[in-house]
Amino acid sequence: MSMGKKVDVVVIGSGAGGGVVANELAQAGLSVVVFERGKSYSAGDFNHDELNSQYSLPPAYGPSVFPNPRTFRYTDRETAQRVYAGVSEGYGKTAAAVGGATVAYGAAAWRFKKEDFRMKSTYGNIPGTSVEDWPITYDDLEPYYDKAEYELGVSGLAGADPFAEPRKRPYPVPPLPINPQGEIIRDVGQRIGWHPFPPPFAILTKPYMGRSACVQCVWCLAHDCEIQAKSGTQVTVLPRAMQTGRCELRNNSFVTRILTDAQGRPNRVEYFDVKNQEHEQYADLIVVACSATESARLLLNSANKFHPKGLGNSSGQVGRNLNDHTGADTFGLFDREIPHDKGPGPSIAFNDWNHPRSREIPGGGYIYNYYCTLPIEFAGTRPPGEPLWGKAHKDFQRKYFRRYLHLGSNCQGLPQDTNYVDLDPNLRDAWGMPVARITHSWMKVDYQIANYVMDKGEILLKEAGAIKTWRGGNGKGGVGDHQNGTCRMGNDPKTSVVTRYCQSHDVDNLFIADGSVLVTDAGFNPSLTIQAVAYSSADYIQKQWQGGAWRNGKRG
Amino acid sequence: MSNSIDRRNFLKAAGGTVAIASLPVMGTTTPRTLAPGCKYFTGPQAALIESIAEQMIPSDADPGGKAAGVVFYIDGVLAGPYGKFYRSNYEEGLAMIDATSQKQFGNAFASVSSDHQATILQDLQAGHSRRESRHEFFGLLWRHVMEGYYGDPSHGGNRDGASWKMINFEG
Repeated sequence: MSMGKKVDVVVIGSGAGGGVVANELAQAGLSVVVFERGKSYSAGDFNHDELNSQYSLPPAYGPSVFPNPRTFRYTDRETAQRVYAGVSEGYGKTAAAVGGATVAYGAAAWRFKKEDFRMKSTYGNIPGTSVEDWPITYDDLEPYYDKAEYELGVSGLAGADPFAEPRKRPYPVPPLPINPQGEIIRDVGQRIGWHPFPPPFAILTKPYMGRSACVQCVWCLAHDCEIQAKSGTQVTVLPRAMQTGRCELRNNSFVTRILTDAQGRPNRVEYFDVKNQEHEQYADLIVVACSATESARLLLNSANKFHPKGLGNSSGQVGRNLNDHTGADTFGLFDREIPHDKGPGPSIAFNDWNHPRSREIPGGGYIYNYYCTLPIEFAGTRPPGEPLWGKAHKDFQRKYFRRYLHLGSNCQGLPQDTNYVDLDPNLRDAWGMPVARITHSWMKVDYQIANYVMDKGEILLKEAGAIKTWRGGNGKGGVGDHQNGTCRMGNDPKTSVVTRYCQSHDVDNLFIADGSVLVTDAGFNPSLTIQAVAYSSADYIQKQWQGGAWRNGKRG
Repeated sequence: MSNSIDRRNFLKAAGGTVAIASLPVMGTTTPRTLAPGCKYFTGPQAALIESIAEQMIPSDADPGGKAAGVVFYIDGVLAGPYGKFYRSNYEEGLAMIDATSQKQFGNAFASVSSDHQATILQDLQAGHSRRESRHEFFGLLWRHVMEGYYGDPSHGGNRDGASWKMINFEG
């Protein structure tokens, strides 16, 4: 075992949140080491290939399939079954690479709505759920949304969504062009009284901070962008952090535990490098940013005599309230051609059914035309009763591949105490650590929300002239790449894991910077909110640091 | 999607409940006579896969699963670094399909009529839909056939990009 030179801060995870915190603290003068279990990809690693994407087996951007399985079950009345990365939705498909999930994300860059931070106040107690208000409001986060949009590069059109919350500045670059699918749903939506607008994306439409604009290829979702038009942390904040000379990235390095000093205060991490050599890295501050499943697992695996239930887990809430979005996709077939070769795909959205004024459902979700359809994906896209193979399959594929419209949506899932991550008692990973056991199932209200939005999607498709429409489904449970909620923020140390600044209630030099801290998940993709919260947290950390906190064991 | 083979079902087909690391690696311990152009499948296995691919995607004005080289895509998967996920499923699954064909129609799958082949696959799919574990192989097979036919030709299938021409996909 070797011990590196002590640094000011260790950040575990280089994704949406970890990348932001690393850069902010390096810019503020702190020395930073970022750990990333995955590898670093370059433009030469990417190709336009449906069998080399985050949705293929194995997932193109990690995690590698074998060394770190998880187990999955719908409820704690079942025995959890072993699941593998890329092989099962039960694992989730969050990439493990420098840049984390932002390497291959769809890059939707939404701000949440004000109700999303006030779910309990807005809708009251919802039986069976653990819905709470956030300790922060939209107004608290607005300056940090703004910062995230400008630091990362987000395209959009201010004022175009009448349901969006106020913003102080326009987007740094204009929205993506409206493609033929977008034109169809824009015109139909206007005709039936909905409010179409071009949705925001962390995809450049003009050169910005040294990167080039999107060329509208169809290989966006689940692929990296070889021209770096997609604003992942690996092409934005991480390179800037390195340029300070104060930030070191250690990829292919898996952190197994956070270790504490003789008083029980975290002071270092234990990790294994690419050659499986064990090391320790000392730091004054530790920021956990491994995504909702792995952050919870790391804290639980870091239990010791001072922290018997896991580090930062005196509340027993670490791992609880594991949440994700339901899908509310709808599909339509047409007797006319609907071109879908202008990527990335989504170019018109509606927020009419996200916290509808009637309040007939708690939350909801946006609707937009989906990412460009690819051939293998389309082979699995059929209305109920339609044959999946044989002559009928081939005829369908030939007839409808270009006469088809897919509307996508991420609907608010409501958190439940009984959905959680804990440590599997029977299975260990290649480093000998207990793996994450995921227990997750949807409840009735989750289906009600998704059904409500799918009703609207089918209306839109029929109004657009679809000759047949159908809807997607959500199965019984399971989390994917919008996983969140396992270390919720809150004011009460008894019922939450971190403060409004993502600081552990138990341990002052431990922070969390990923989707774990989300209290509820809104009907929006989470990455921009994860990043705004991370900017808010980093702002707090650097002010405290400049005031002398955490140095040489001082408390913060 | 209610009528498609979702990824969760696929998990079961892909061996989520077996001890994957300990699967025997076929072909390294048993002498096998490989089919021409194949790195994993024997001649009879390749013929069986080609018959299945042709049933699932029959040739007409556009090439079918056999002419598009689906078997070479699946062969590459099984011979590749993640092949150990699937090899025992294929060994057992293909043997089961031939045994069913022998029992019901008196000959190997590749040698019975097209109608009989379709009947066997329909029964397999129905069992898969009922979540019968002995029929889980259908989900894996279906996915691999579609990947081989519609995927990038660099992976061994979709010869000459035939399926992309068929659906007017320019990539």
